[in-house]
Amino acid sequence: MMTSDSNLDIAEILLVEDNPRDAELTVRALKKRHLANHLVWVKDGAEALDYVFGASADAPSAVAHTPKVILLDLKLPKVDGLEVLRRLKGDERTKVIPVVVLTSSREESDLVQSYRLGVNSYIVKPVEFGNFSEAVADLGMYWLLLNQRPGPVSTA
Amino acid sequence: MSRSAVRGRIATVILLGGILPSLTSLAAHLVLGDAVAVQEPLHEGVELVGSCIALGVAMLLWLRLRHESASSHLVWVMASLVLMGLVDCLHALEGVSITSWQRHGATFAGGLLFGLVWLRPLPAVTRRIGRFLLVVVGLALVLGMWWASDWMPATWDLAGSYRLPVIAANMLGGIGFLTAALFFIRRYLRTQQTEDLVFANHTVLFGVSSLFFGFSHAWAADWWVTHGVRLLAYSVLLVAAYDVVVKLYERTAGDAQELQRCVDGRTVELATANSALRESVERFELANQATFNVIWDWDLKTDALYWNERMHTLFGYRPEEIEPGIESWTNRIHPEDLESVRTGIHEAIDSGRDHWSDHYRFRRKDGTYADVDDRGYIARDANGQPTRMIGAMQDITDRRLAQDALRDSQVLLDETERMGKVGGWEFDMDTQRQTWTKAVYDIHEVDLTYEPTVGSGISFYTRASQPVINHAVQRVLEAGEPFDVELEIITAKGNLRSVHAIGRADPARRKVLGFFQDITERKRAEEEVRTVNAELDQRVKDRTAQLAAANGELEAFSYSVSHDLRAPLRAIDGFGRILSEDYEHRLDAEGQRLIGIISSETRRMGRLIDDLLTFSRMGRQEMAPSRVDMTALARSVFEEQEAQAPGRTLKLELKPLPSTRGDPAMMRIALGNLLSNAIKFTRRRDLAVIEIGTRQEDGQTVYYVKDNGVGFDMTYAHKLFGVFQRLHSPEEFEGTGVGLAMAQRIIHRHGGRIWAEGKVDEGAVFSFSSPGMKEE
Repeated sequence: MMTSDSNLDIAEILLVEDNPRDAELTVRALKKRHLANHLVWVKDGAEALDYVFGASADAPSAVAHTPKVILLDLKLPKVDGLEVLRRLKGDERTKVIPVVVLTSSREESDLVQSYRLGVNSYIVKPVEFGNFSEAVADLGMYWLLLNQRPGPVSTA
Repeated sequence: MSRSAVRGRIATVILLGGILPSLTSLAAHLVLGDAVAVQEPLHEGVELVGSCIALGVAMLLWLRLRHESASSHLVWVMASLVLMGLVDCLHALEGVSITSWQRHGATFAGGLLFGLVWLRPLPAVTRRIGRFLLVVVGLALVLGMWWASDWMPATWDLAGSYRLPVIAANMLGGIGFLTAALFFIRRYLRTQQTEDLVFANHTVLFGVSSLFFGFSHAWAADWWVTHGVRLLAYSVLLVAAYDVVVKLYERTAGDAQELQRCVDGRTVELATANSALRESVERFELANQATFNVIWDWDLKTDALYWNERMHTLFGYRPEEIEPGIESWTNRIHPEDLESVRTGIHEAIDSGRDHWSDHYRFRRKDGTYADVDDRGYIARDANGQPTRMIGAMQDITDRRLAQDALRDSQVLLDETERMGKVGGWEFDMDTQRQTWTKAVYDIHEVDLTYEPTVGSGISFYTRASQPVINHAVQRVLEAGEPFDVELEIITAKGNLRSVHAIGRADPARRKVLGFFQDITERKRAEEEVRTVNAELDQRVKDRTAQLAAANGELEAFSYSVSHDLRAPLRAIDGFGRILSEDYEHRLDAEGQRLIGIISSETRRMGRLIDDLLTFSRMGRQEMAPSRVDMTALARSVFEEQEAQAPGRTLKLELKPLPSTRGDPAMMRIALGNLLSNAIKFTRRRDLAVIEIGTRQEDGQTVYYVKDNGVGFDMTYAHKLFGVFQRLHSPEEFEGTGVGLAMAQRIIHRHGGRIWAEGKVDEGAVFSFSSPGMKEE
């Protein structure tokens, strides 16, 4: 796990990306807009779920972290992106966390499946770097600064 | 008139004819003396009366004797009367003379004959000849005496007394009469018949008269008395005559009645016979009409030939058209048959046979020939000579045609059975007879002499098949349940064969019948088909699995391409960018250019990958067909494309396009690719003109996109639609070479076709059509 901030509790962006090059490009794009201060990067689906649910994955207690937005790649080692999405959107505690799928896949099936599971946004990573950094920066801006969401849901 | 009255009258006649003349003559003799003028006619009268009575009575007796054999003694009486009547007649005509022996001869012969009544009755034949001889002898005697009178001795002397011969003759005659008188008296005493009494009186009178006659003197009183007595004797006969007449009358009346009865009887018989005959004739007529045969009757003596009216109905000849003779037959026989028919019929007639038959062709009125069967019977007279032939001719054309048709259909059936290896069988429930057609024998491999039975038929079946056929046959025989089974038999030669047996009952004909087919070949073929099918099935399954696997791999590949191939590109481009941004001051212009090339090639690679994925997706994507407004779509796509080509002057000539049916999204991509193609290759034109329209070709609507661009060499037309195939270098015209391939794939998926026509520098026309893209 790599963070640009030591305080994990205030992580605002959870980046789930197995490809370090893509991760670096993403972080760089967000940094340019100064949005990467509270970014946590995990390399596979299992880590992502661990980060969000902590030890409470099977307990009815509060979750470990509720980032402001999760940037989720679909093709991931161990637990793939769609499964992560299903788990997050299937749990009342994490349902409200905006999830943006950020993927290379233009496959219709991926798109349809993601929306069916309740994804908040689906972005195809442009090959061209300019477009890519612009897209990442725009969505960071949107979800961190413009979007309003209700507070963490307590199940207690 | 009563019998007594008749007798009275007869008595009167006797008096008038016998006694009165005698007394008159006696009186005349005494008064007038021997006056020849009175005595001669008187004598002639007396003799003539006697003669007539004698002949009349003789005739009556003759008549009576024809019917009455019992009175045969009367033959002599009759003979005597005939003789005396004839002689007296002659005597009367000749007159009294010295030479007249007639009267004396008559008395002598008559007496003798009368005396013969004592003789036993003669046989009938002798009597007939006797009568004949009597008449002849009597006539000869009379004529002889008349002729020989000149030589006869004189009968009386000068004194008028009769000479001795005369006396003797009269005496002998008289004795004869008296002898007869004795006979009749005896007879009368026995029979009490008037007739016998009459004859007794007659003979007594005659006998007495004759005894005394010889002693009388000519023309004297005693002479007249004997004459008178004789006349009286004759007159007495009239009573007998009456009796005979009465008897004859009664007999005749009886005969008449008998005759009437016979006639009546015969009439009834005749009437019966007549009605029977009429019925028989009517029956014949009916039969004649009812029969379909032509009846003919040939008179062999006159050669006349009669035909009945069937000649008209069967062969069309009206009665007036038929010649009367035998030529009416021979003229109508087919010339080729005539000789043999003629030979045959003559042989039958000449060889004494009583019938003949033949079969030949007979010409109808309309000129066609009928096949006829002709049979005739030959009638012969007592000597065996043929007199006529009667026959019947039958038109058997239809029968022959039917026979021919039957034969043909039998041949057809045999041939069909042989080819189809199918036959028929029939079982007669009454006679228990099993019948097979030829093919059934062939299938069992037995020859035609084999005699099938139900049991032997079943014995051919295999052990496994026997219970099935047994049950089926039992059910059809007992309950009339039909069966249809496919079983196996072992033929007489030991070959295993599959057979198809069908059976059903025909209760009306009390038969069970069916069908029997050798299906060995079919079974073999079916087995082969089954094997092949199973193999095919397996192969299809294998292929499908392979295909599914390939498809899966392709999906995985596409997915992988989609994700993994683009990630490094992004990295190359991204880090290239970072390099140029972060190390801007350390890179010279050449370094910056090289980084630019890396970036542009990376982007190009990204486009290639995107296009390739889109193209691949086009092949797999589900289609959602609906109505597509082609005019609106073309306009919208053009506007979209135009926006991506800033600085170009484009002119769209959009003809009204009929709408079609297809997947709108795909159609948009296809049309978009064609339009972007057109826009791209008209880049060098100052004014790019792009025309979109339709035309009719082979009853189909063909859409086309025409441009005035650089066109192409038709030699390479086949390469236009290949993936990554390009006719221009990227420097000339950018592109990945996927657009037209994608358009083609879309049109193909709609079941249509797409093609291009063009010429270098003269523009290109891209056309597409599809039966699936129906005009709406």
